[in-house]
Amino acid sequence: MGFDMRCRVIARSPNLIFATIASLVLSVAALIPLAGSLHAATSGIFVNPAINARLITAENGVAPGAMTLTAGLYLQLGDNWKTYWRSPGEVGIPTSIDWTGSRNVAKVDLLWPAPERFTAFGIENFGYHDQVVLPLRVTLADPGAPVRLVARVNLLTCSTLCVPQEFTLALTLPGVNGIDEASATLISTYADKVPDDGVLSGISIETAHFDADRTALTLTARSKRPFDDPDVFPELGSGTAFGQPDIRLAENNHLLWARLPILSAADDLPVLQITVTDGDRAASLTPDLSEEAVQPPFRIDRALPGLTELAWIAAITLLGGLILIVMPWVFPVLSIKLSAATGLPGRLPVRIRKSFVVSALGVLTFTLLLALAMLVARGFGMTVGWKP
Amino acid sequence: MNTNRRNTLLAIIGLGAAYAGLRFLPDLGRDKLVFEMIDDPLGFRRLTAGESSSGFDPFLGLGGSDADHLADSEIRVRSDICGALYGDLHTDPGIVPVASFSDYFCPYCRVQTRRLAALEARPDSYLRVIWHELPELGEPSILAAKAALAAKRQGAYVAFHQRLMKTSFQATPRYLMALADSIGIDHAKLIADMQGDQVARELETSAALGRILAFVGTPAMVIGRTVIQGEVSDNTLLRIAAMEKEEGWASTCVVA
Repeated sequence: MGFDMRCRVIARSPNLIFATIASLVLSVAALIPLAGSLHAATSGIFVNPAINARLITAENGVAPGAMTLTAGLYLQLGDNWKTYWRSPGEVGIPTSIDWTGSRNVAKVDLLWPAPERFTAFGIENFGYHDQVVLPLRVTLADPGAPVRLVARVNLLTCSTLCVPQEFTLALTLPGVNGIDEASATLISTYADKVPDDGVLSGISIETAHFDADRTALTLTARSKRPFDDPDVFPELGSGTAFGQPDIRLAENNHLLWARLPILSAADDLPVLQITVTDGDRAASLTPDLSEEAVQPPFRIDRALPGLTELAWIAAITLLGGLILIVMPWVFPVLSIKLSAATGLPGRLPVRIRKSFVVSALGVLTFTLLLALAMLVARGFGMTVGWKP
Repeated sequence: MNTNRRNTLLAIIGLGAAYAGLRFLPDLGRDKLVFEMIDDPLGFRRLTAGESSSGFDPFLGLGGSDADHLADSEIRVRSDICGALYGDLHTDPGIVPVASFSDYFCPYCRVQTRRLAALEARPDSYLRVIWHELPELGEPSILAAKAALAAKRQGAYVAFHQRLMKTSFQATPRYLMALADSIGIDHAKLIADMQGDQVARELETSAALGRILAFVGTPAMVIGRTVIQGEVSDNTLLRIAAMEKEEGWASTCVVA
């Protein structure tokens, strides 16, 4: 409650320097770990509208003789906020953690759960939304001794706004036995999403080929289980970006063929790594390059709207027209037209029919002219629409 | 005959109603713009309706440069905020200046750059866009910003960004040469300007503006005296620009 109120003061504070100092004090206060409490398996929480972050560990303490710990960086993202994978895509920055200040920590391996593809504003990005735990494998310097983890986290969160986040989370584990069930489950859920080497997921890459002038990557992958909703994320160093893949499945969905345009290629290319994801499973593999590109299993003809889609468009258009005609200011006009066309006695039915046809043509021509005017206006950069 | 005339009358009334509907209905759908006056710097205001930037601490940038230097540039910028934002443009009341702050590594920044360039290019536009770079995302973003500002010195800021849309920026000499060639600017000058004092000073100015105006990230823009962070539609943007023109945004600059 007190925290909440003080935040409000800051939001409206006239003095920026005061606000900055106060918020620094507050964030430091929020970040001081519960050092005194012995059985805390989570750190303090860093929170703002984009992200809610904390450090969690599967163990409540360091068991005697334990050489490693399982921890995780828990990230809960706000609505529409995203954060990035180790290869963020065209733009973006992967999360990085500096462990300086930690005690009894030899090294920490950060694992990356399989990413999702975001296409926003014509830009391809790979990362996470909603919730993710980045599993951490902590190797201890002195097995079984108490551990203090100090994580200086640097990550980028973006919605229509990119807000870089820099914060420190700390956590102390005493030398006692014990498992934090909730944290352990959470970490293992996301550890299961980390791409494997293909053994458990049953995914393997058969061929991978770059075009002569490096404009595209063509690859084929095979799966023991049929692919359901696969995606492909190649990585080739930070200087190379791939566009959206054209993925086609064959052989009862056991074979995946994909072709990805290369948007930019660095001069010296490191080893190609390809991550194939499919629902809950994923594999990160480093295939040998093949001489020839495999031809696609089938051709895709021009992308036209499907028949059902066309039927829907027609139905909605018809409904729109009907509503317009039934409007009180259109209906009388129709009756005028009708009485004009049929009103004079002794008119030949052929003439009446012809007059309707000509009227219909007139309506069509006018509508086409309207559409043309709209297109021209749009061409000149005017906004055509209703909503502001 | 009588029915016919009544029908004609009805039709005319109907058409009138339809016209009135077309003319005035869009106004009903408009959101009211909500502003919050800023106390420091005085005279500026913040668009708050539908905004996604509240609730953050002002961001101070990754990897701090030395504090004295920051304080110096902040004092310099505070003495003439409009000059820092808009350059020489702040003396002309007939136009509305827009300062755009972006970072190469922020996806939505590209959309803002593209849209502002398009709005400025309209034949009846009274907007003038002043391009700022706010590289907050580490070393690569600073290099990309320097290259963009160096390209701006040859009048190729927007062309540079459009060219970058489909590639990843690399700060290698070969890449920069190819890039300079493809947008038709002088490569040697680009490299020299990237390392020059003026580009460095421009970055300092933009960073100081970011701190003074309390941006939480990128992109950000200032239209006249209105600070905006987050997504706004072209229509909202134009409405604000019209308000700024009508209300005389330049008076704020005189006070400052």
